Amino acid sequence: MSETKQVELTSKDKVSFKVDRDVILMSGLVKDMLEEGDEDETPIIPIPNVDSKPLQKVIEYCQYHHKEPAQEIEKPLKGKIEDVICDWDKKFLEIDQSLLIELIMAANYLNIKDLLDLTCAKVASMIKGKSPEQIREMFGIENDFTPEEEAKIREENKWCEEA
Amino acid sequence: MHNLSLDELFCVMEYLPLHDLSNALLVCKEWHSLDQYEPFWKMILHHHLNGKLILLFDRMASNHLWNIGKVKETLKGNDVKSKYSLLRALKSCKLKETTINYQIDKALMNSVCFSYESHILKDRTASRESLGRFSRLEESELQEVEEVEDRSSMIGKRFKYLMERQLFSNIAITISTFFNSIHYNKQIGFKEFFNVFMNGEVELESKPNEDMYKLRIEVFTLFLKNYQRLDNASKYWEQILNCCLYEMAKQCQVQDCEKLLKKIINSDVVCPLSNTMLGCVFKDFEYYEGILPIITQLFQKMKTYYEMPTFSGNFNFNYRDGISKANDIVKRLRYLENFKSEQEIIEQYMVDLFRICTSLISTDDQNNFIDEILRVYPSMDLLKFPFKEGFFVVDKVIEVANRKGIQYPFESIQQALTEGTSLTDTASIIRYIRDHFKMDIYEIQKRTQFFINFLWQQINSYQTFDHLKEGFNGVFLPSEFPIDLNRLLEVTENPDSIWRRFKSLVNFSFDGTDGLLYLNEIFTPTIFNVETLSACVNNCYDSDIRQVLYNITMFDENEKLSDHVEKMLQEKDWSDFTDTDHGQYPISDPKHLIALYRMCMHDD
Repeated sequence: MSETKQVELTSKDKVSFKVDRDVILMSGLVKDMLEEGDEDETPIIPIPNVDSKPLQKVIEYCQYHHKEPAQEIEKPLKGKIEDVICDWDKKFLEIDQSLLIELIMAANYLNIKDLLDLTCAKVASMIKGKSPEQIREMFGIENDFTPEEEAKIREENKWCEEA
Repeated sequence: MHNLSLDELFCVMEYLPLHDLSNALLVCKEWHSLDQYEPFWKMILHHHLNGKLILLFDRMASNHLWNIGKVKETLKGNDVKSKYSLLRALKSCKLKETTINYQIDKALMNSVCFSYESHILKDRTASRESLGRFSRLEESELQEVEEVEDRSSMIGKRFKYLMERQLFSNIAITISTFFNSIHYNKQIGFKEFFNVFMNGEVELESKPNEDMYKLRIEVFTLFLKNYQRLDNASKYWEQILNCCLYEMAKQCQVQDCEKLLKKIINSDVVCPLSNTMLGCVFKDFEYYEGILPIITQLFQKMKTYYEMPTFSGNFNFNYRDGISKANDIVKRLRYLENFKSEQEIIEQYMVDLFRICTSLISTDDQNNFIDEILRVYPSMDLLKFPFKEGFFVVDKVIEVANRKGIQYPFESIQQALTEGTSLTDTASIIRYIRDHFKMDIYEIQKRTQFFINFLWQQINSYQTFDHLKEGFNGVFLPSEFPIDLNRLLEVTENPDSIWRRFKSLVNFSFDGTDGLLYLNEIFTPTIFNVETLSACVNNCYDSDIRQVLYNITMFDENEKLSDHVEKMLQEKDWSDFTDTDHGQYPISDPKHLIALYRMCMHDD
């Protein structure tokens, strides 16, 4: 029985993860890098933009979804994200907000479209139904508009409310 | 969230419905910066159109070669050819039903397909790939790349505008298809309008599971949010207000009606409102009586055009007596004085009042009714009664005029004989002229030329021989039969037109032989001559009736056609001449008569 080929990923904080090559090929970035390298060895791929915690979650995602393709999430979201994703994804997304944001960045950097979609949809689902004030509060964002600027934008985008 | 790049933020926002998207753009300047990028709005438009196409296809398509999965897959994919063929298929897909909901869906589908084709498939500008490059540039650097070819396709407002237009177009199509497909105002849905317009402030019974109910709620919600921007808003408001006035008495308490009307009056709504709509107020006058000032305000606020309501159909109640009925009507007429002068109202409703009077069963009630009306409106001048709009009430008008000692001048009444009155009115007026001006029927014809109009009325109202007889008996006295045709024609300005009407009347009498025999009897000499026979016989498909027609026809004043032809047959052998097409021979040609004989006296 032939041994499964592996790849070693090294995170920004120098933690290494050995992961099956087939699994990590879900990442467009890794796939491109592997095509350029020697296939006989266990390549070490540095992931300098991603910390170990999100990288571990990325690997977890790829390990599950490389055999179970993710379901398409319709844009825009019609209801809650929980209504359109599988139970595994629901469990996967039970993480704190900062890790979720890091996952978005990791998915984008590693070019894993399905993970990017899932995490972005999750954030969108958190935003949905909330006022600008509530969104700011939820994500700790400072309002840098003057009242006049805010009023002007509201007026400009009034048509969105009429839909 | 601070760490997300614009591109990542873009990915999040793609999942937001428009309402949430507009909230998200208000969070901070960085989030709002997405608003300037064409690819962002193009993507939002793309998702909107995709979603709409899928939704509409799912709702309306039946027995279609495409299924929902294939539609979704094609829209998601990059194959432009497949997308074009999908659009073609969607535009031509058959409806499951033909209800208003489906008509709206169909209209929306066409519009969405058109936008998808024009702005998504054909328009390759605003590609997402360039977004990264541009979004990384500072504002000052952006100015420097002004000359870059695709700058305008990256930073601008075109797709945002297109998105806005698409939404508005969906709304306008939904509203216009809804209102245009409902011809009768009352079917618009008062209850639904009320609920939406009053923000559910007043509870009316609802039917939440009914498709039509849901559609109406949706349309009224859209309409109230957008009517100021709609071209035909005032037309739709007119339909809505008409529906409200028609339905309110049936469907809500008068206090709720008052709230609704006040809200309309205090709004910016202005629409053409015919005060024929006051007919609804007249119909349910007892309901509206307590809030008439509000009704007046409503009509005064709107661009009211003054066509007064009619009373017809508004008084089907059982009244105790004529005076009660008169009082009820007077109350309504008094209310109309908010819009018209008393004189205008009297002139407008004089005919209606007499018509209502004749609908009362007992003569006492009729007299009490009209006396009460004349008491309240002493200025009502019976001499101004417009006889040409008599509508079966001339008898009553003349009777009242006689009772009041009013005599109509000949000129004012003669017009009624030549313009549009009914047979009954003609009979009444001829009787009146006979009694008051001492004229016989030939003198009346000489003065009024009524006979042409009388024949026209006979033709138009012909149903059976009895109606024909009744018509002549109403106008001519028993002593005037048979009618002296020569004398009648002598005083007629255009005898040819009388002959034309005779021929039409004969044609209408082919339902049996009674009518023909009657018409033959009542004129001397008869109207049945060779010319009449030639003109009419082709329209008669019954051989028995043709024989009767032939047998009553006179060759001249003294000799029957049948006798004349008999002689011709004895004098000459016509056995070789079998032609029945009399029309091809001049009337003076003996062959014409033989052809008529062959046509009438041979069985089919």
